[in-house]
Amino acid sequence: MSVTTHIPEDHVPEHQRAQVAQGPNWMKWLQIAGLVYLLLVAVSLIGGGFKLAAGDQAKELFAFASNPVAGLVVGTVATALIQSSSTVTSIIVGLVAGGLPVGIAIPMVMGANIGTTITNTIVSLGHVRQGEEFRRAFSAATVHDFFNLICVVIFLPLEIMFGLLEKMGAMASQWLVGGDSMSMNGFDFIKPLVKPPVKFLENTVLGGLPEAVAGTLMIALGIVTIFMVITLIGKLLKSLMVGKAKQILHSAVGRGPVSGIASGTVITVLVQSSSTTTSLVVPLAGSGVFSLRQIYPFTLGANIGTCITALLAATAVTGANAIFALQVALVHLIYNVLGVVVVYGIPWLREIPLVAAQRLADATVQNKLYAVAYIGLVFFVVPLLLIGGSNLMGI
Amino acid sequence: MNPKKRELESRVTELEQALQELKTQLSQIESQEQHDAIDHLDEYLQSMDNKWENVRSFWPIVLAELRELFGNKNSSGKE
Repeated sequence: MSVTTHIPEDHVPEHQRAQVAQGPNWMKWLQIAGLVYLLLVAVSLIGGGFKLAAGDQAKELFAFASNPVAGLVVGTVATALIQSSSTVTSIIVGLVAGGLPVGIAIPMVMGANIGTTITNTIVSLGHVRQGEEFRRAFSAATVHDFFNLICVVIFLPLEIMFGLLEKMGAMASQWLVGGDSMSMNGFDFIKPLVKPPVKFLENTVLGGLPEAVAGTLMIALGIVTIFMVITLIGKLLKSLMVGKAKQILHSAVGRGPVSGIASGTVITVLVQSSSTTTSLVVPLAGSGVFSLRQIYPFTLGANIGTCITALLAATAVTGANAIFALQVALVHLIYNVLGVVVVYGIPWLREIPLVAAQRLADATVQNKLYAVAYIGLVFFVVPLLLIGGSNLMGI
Repeated sequence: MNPKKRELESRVTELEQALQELKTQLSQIESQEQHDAIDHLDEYLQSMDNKWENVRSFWPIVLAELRELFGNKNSSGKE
């Protein structure tokens, strides 16, 4: 005789009920594997679509963004609107695979870094009714913004004048693939996996359409797929990795800034989203348990960790442009690592984001209009003014 | 050595030790608070999903401040 014990649903803890409702973990990992595959297909779709639509005219098509400030603004505004730097950098990798010059893509990648910071600023607005808590939460959110703005102020002129990041990225990609096309090397196994669905779409579903229309549809489908895939991966990883993230944070307590940067990097790699990492620390800082100075290095780690998505996307690209796709993904990584080394490494530079974030938070607590003005100016108005100004100056 | 000076030195050492002990205790309490806060990470993750609620709750406050700002200006203009 079998005895079954019935536990009333009310007695099951909420987190266990949620776990049962969402299915077992292995199912989620399987879903993530499928989504990563879709991400690679989507990047390949954008590359293929861009080649089809633009042909040899890719450079001319993006002539408007050959002004680096325009590229920066495109990256900033696009990321602020869709709130995912991983999505934007993956799309950029796809476009480079389709022929977008790396020099035009680099300022866009820098812009993605700025645009992504809007998410944690929005999260900090949730503390608005608690004066002191809001001050701490808002400064914890904007310290990341100011850091990224300083990085652009330092590295964009260096890029315009000397092509610093482009050269470093080229060297790193050559070193990684031995100066050959990536399709000749270790990533060759990706091609047979990714190409069939792209070719199927190109030859059958979109086969009867003019090349320009088919290419544009492929790009649009690729962008929508990347956006959906990264959103879903983020949701799944958040639920799967919360325990691991806790462990990492517990181990970083009281260990200093390098440990903070490392834990921010690892958690961002695990959840595949810098805005998740930087938003997580907003309530931690808001409660006053962590100081702004303790939170700061953690948010910088998020900048480094988020580069993994573009690197992953670059593995989907094959053919002549594969090396350029890898180059732009590596530029993203080099830029963020250099940013941390230079801005956080130089003591007086390190202080600027802290002071700026604290001053802005002080002003915002007095008058919330500062928050609105700040978000509007940094993410939308100033970028547009910069485009106008740089066009007038003929940059 | 001057006994007064020796006494002062010894008191300084004692105070420094006591201060160090207090600092250690404080740091332990701070660490414990940080560990406790980290244990609530799941809740913070959930609140992130409702970030547009934050904008909705923020907006009336901004509008009220705007009304106050322009209301004050208008009333001072009338005066």
